Amino acid sequence: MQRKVVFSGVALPYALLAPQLAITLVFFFWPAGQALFMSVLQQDPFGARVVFVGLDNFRAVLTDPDYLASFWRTVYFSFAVTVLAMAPALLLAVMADRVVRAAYAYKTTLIIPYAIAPAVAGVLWLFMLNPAVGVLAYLMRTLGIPWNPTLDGTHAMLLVILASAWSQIAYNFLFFLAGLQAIPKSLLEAAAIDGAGGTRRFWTIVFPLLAPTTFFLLVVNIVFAFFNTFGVIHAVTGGGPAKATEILVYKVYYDGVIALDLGSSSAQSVILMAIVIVLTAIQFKYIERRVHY
Amino acid sequence: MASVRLQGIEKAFGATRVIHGVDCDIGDGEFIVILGPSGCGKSTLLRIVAGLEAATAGDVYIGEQRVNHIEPKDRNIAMVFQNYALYPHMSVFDNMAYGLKIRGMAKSEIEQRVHSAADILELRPLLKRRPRELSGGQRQRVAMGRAIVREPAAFLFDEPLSNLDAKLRVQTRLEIQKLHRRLGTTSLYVTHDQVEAMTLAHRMVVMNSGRVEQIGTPYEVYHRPATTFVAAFIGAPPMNLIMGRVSADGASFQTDAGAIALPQPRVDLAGRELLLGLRPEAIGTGGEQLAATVEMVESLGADHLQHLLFGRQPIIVRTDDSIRPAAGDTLRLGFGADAVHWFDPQTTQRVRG
Amino acid sequence: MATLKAPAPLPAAARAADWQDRTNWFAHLIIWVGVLITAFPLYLAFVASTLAPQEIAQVPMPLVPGDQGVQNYWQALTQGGGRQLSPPVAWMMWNSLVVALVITFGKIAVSVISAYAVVFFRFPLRMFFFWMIFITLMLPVEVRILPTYEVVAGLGLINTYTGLTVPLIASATATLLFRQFFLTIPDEYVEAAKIDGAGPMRFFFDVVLPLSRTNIAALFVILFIYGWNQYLWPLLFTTGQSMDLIVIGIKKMIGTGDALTDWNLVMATAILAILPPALVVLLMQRAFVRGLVETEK
Repeated sequence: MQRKVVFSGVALPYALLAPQLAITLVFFFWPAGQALFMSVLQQDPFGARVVFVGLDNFRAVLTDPDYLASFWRTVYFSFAVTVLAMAPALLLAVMADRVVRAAYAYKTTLIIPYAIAPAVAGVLWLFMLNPAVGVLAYLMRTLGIPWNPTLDGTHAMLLVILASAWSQIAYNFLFFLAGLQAIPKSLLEAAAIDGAGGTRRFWTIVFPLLAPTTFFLLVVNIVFAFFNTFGVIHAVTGGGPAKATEILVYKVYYDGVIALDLGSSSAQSVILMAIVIVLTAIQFKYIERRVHY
Repeated sequence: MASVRLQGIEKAFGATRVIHGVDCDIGDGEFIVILGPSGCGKSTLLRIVAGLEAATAGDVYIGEQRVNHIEPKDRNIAMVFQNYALYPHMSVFDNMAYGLKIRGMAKSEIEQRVHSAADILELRPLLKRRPRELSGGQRQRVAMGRAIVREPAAFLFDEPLSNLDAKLRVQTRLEIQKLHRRLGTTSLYVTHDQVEAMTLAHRMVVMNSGRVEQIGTPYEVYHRPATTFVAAFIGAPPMNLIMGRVSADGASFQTDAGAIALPQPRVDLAGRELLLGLRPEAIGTGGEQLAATVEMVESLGADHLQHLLFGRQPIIVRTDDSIRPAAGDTLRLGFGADAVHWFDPQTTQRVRG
Repeated sequence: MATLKAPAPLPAAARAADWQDRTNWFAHLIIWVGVLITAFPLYLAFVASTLAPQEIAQVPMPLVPGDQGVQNYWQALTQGGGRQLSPPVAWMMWNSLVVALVITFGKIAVSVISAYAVVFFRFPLRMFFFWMIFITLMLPVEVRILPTYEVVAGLGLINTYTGLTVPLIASATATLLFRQFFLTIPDEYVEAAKIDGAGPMRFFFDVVLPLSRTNIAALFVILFIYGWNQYLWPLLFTTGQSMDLIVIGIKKMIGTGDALTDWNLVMATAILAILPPALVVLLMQRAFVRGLVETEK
């Protein structure tokens, strides 16, 4: 894409681009290259030399049962967070779209979690579900559920899923609402005149027209669940109990920083890079088409 | 104030030629209208004079200076755009003052120039407003004001009235005329509207598909069109063009639908296959030169447009409102010698005489 | 002439009074449930931040605010997390503010001129550089975390505000947004400016920037929140407590195992961690919502 009318000159644009390019080169391409480089190296046990080991690190990682467990755990986690963050957001958006009056007040409250760091959201939910003092934990116990996320892996997983989904609903809500408001009212009126009731109108007209937004949010939510939830895990469970909540991005951190296995951590980084690239590529390819919808 | 000269201007975008060799001499203080249909290259030509486009070949002179490689800001020209191009975040005053501010003019002088331009265009009460608070006509006046304060060698107008409604167009047209009478600045004005061209121009440049068809005063262009294109483009309804052959004795014009008696014999054209051009307003009823069948009558109030068929050839005649035939009637028509135009069907050029 | 029958009455779904009205009470209900789910954890945190530790330990804690608010906030701000090791929250908030503002202004400044260069000029490698910047979107900092640390350490920037913020200015969201907007600026403005005599930089400051005001406002909100809520990079990057950010410091206040946590202080800190970004969102809500939806298109 290029404007028809431009300014002449070549030195000036280079100068304007320079700051961003410099930062990008030094803090993005160089480290990314390093990650690729380190992923094919292995530090020898005494830390004195580094040895080129080809794809050994990758092989080790991909056959490591802990890694595979973490991988599937991450898939499960992303799926749960995505569904729990998108479905209620859609419902809320549909309802908010209907209620024209006071929509502003509702919207304002519903948007607030966007401003909250996932880690802080994690702390809030940790507090509510804390076995010792949590209000919701108390509720669980009165209902007969032996709630204990510090000991029970499933409980811990549930805790981080809830916190992560809760913090992401606001973002989805905003986009769904915008998508809904972009649907011409005349379409719905025409459908109503044709005799379609509310539910049918939603599933046959609104939902298909929301498809581009939905797809876009799907990818965004998956990326969120893969990466931005690091703070939740670190602040709330530290990957535990017993690795029950160790998702891939946390594992990269743990293996690299705590366990100091740089080769493995780098290989894991590269695998994660590949996953993100695929996801974002799909997203942008689809968005190209979406523009012509 | 200066003259403008275009010599051999050519323009191509990639492989597509849009202007084929334009030559034009514009005198100091002249109001030149470049007229033509959409896509004929007239806007491109204007932009070449402005310096917003570079000609592929040819020279542009403003005053005596060759300006081909000179930036727009140094050519001492001002432009009025079709879409006004007013900076939306600046007030009317700031919009008009912007060019002067950049040139480092003293604040007091800027104020004086802007105020005097605002007085001419009756914009004084609007100086503090933003463009979005103005009507289309007001915005166009601000655009003109911006051009005036620069006191340039030439004004360039790019279809400035196209975005205005009909009534406003007439009004603004008169204002532009008054402005030119007052300031006398050399002006190049681009439009597709022949009424604007006829009323505003000292001389017109009629263009079609990148070529100049004719350069002349409105009178010349109307009464002696140089090509069939000009003949059909100027005048509403357009000139009737009838295909046929001049008889051997030069006294009549043989067509598919019959012979048309010529008011003056043309022996010099005998035997030639030509197009006979007759303007609707130059044909009268009650003559004996040709007869045509009435298809439809359009009433314009004081005038009627008679839509006739001469054989299979449609002909339009303008009459006063007393002529009210019914569909299917036959009208007998006549015309004088000075109403006759001859064109060569192959070259589309006017035939001498 | 045949007479026309009166048309059949409109189906129920289309009658004006009925139009989506019947479901309004349902819609309100759902929204209230949503608001409740959103607000409850926040309300609870607020209440906990006004109670004394004993009141919280008494399960279940009271659901109305207590009277220890001022003490709790004061203690958190000046002394940090009580029994646990964490710096004073006021200091951490300052750090977070610096980081958030540097990232916000840094990104906006760097991106707006890059976008201007890419859109308003033609030069060799233009698209190549654009794609280079665009690619940074694909890889969030979490994926290149360790090598970035090496690079920053190599530059001697450990434990500096520079090292903390500059690596995060590297991404392209703002550039894309500005580029999209710049592509919609009408050609006539550029041409009029050329004739008026404005050069490219003049045009940038006099016309393009003022026209970009809403975009900048929206980006301000998005980037401020992004900067304030940064977790992984600052976690890795800072050693010692002097550069702790509030969203990380809060974790340090939570004890594990047998050590007890001063939940009242933790919740006060949580509220303090939420207030500034929430305020930014509230104050600039309209511009923000519009900008957010535009960014991702």
